Amino acid sequence: MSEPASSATVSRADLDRVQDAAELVSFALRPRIAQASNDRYSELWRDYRTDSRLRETVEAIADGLGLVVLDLTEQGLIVAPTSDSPFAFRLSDYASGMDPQKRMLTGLVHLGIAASCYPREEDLENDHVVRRSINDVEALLRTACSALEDAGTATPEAEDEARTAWQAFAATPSVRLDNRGRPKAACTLGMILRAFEWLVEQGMARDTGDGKTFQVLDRYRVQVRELAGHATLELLRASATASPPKPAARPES
Amino acid sequence: MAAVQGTTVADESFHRRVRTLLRSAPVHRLAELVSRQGLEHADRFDLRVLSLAAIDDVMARQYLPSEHTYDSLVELVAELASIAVPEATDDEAHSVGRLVVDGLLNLREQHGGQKFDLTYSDYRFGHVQRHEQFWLLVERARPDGRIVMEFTADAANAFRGGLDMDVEDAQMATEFMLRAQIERKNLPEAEVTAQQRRRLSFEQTAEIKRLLDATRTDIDQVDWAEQVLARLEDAREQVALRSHFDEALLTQLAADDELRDPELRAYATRLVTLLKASLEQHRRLHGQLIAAPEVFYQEQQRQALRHRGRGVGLFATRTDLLDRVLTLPEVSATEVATSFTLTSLGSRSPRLPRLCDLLDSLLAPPRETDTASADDEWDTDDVEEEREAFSRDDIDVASRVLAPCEQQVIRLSELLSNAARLGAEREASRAPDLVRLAVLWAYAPEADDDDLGSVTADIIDPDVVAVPVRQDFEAGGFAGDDLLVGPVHLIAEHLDDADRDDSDERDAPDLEVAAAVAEGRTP
Repeated sequence: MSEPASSATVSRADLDRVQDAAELVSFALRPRIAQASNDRYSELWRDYRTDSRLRETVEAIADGLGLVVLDLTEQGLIVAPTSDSPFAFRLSDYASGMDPQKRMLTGLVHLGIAASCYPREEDLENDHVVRRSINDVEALLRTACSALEDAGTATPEAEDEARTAWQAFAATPSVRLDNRGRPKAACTLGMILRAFEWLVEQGMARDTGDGKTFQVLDRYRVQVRELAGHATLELLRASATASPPKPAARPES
Repeated sequence: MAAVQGTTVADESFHRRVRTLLRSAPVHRLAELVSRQGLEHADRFDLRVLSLAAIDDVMARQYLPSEHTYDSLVELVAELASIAVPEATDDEAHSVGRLVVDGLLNLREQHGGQKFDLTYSDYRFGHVQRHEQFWLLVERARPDGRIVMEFTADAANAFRGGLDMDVEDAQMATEFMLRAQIERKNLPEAEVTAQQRRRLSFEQTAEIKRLLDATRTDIDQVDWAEQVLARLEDAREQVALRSHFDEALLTQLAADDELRDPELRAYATRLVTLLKASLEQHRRLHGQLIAAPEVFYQEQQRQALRHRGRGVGLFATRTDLLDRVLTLPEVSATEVATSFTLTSLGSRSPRLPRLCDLLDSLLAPPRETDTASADDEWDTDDVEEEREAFSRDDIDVASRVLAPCEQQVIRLSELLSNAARLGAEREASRAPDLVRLAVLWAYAPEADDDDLGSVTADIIDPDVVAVPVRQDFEAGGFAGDDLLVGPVHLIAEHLDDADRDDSDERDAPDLEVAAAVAEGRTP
């Protein structure tokens, strides 16, 4: 058995670079670590900025793992999983056994957080930290539902099959407290609180300490701008093509 | 019209001064707002001075290790408020602190931290109503993860007092003054000048950042080859000159024996601190300028190829996403909203077992704290000990793990593994223990409810009950009968289903407990 004559020898430097790149991807998968808080991460982060071969290697390794490099910010490298990646987030990671309505309400709450933090195009370009409370997000969602109600769409009392998302949200209680005074998961404030807590868990937000107000970080903005918003728009377009919007049903007088 | 002729209202310099004046408007607005806060001594707090003091101190500490956080700035303003009104309570002083800091961040009056947006009349070309949009303070994350308050170029401009002068020209003028003041040993004045020079540097930094941000936003909107490169090259030269000046002046101060005089030493020390901070800032800016062409090439590649939705365009999250999803029928909205949830939450790292650790766990003797034995005695004294043993993190994790039980039936084994997974990122997490205790409470609540406020009872909804199923489990150091945990009505439904399918022995619940639950008794 002899090796093909054309096979290139892998140098020590190449192997070191692959190891560095893999290590950088590994740091990127731990989103709560900021690059300057870890000497090794900091070194790799600097190298990534200046060494194009390291960048290419990182992208190749990420690609092989089912990840895409979204951005390099001052705080670190941001990667996101493709849909079939072993790193992809699944609903069961969020909460097991959610019924469709709970899934929808949870999604609306996450959209509400994004819309509250970055309502306009230009807001997605600012790398400031955004402060939002669960009440801010609740108010935005309720206002949006009220505006749609005022615009003359069907009432929340309509049949479940015919309900729109805003009607389902409007029909969900705003607040129910548990013994500790925390909003329960069955109310919209509770869902918003849990959504924020997940963002904290994922290194995209910080709790300011009162348990209700959060500092939303650049990582979340990048995630929304580069991935989630785009994917959602695509689905909205597909949905619009598949079923043209029906005229709004007026409430019976 | 004749009366207008000959006035300066149409001059460029007048226009600049108007814009500068507008940037102090939020501070005046705060002074109006204080009277509506229900504060006992509202009329005695000087919100204008407190605001300017806050801005000034943020600027003075920017990029230094002692940079202000939101809380430290509130603390500073509260302390100043207490000095002004000694009889004010701590709460009142902190309310003033939050009012000022939130006001400077534009978080008041439902502005949500957006830019201040003021309109003004521009007479340069007849009359045009224009918008002036700006920030004063913002919160920004540093590379080490700290979130600090940052002074913006607009705030710097407001502080510069509307001088009709280019930033670089103003910097050269202040450097000339600074050198002269040091030579004359007029260090108090030199300190003031050095602070002014730092503000100018912030303004210049922000201008460069604005240029780079414009590139990142949409590369087609900036004339990179003709304008941006030339502007950056010019800025690089200017910043290099600033750094040389900082270094030269620091060397001069170090060599000047006269500054060891006790009267001058304190001023000299502060001056050196300011110059070192300036030097650090100029070096940082120089580094950004050196790397700036790379920004262009990276953005060119990224914006052409990447996921930012060039195919579908940029979007406004409120109107393009949320409002549209809200109008969808529930079925379609579920699909779209779920997709957003999954794609916005980033990644999760699958956890692989380390076989060597797994074998150790399997060979270890079972824990004595058997999970759900009906014979378990649970002393309230233990609860007090437990309350102290659990950290805030443990309580939060356990609460989150248990929250879904208000709406669905979940097995204890699953709850424990969720608690172990969420707790794994924290050191010495005891969240699984807390989940175990809370479920135990749901299984056999204390008849004496005096202790209902205990940490374990508090984190589980009183409507949630637990019933055993005839299936053992062993996971994460726990072993025993598995339990079904959920709201009473769902548990009852679950038991009905299990009754109908007697063949499923493994999931069959304890019939005695089932009967108790169905009758509304405590099992």
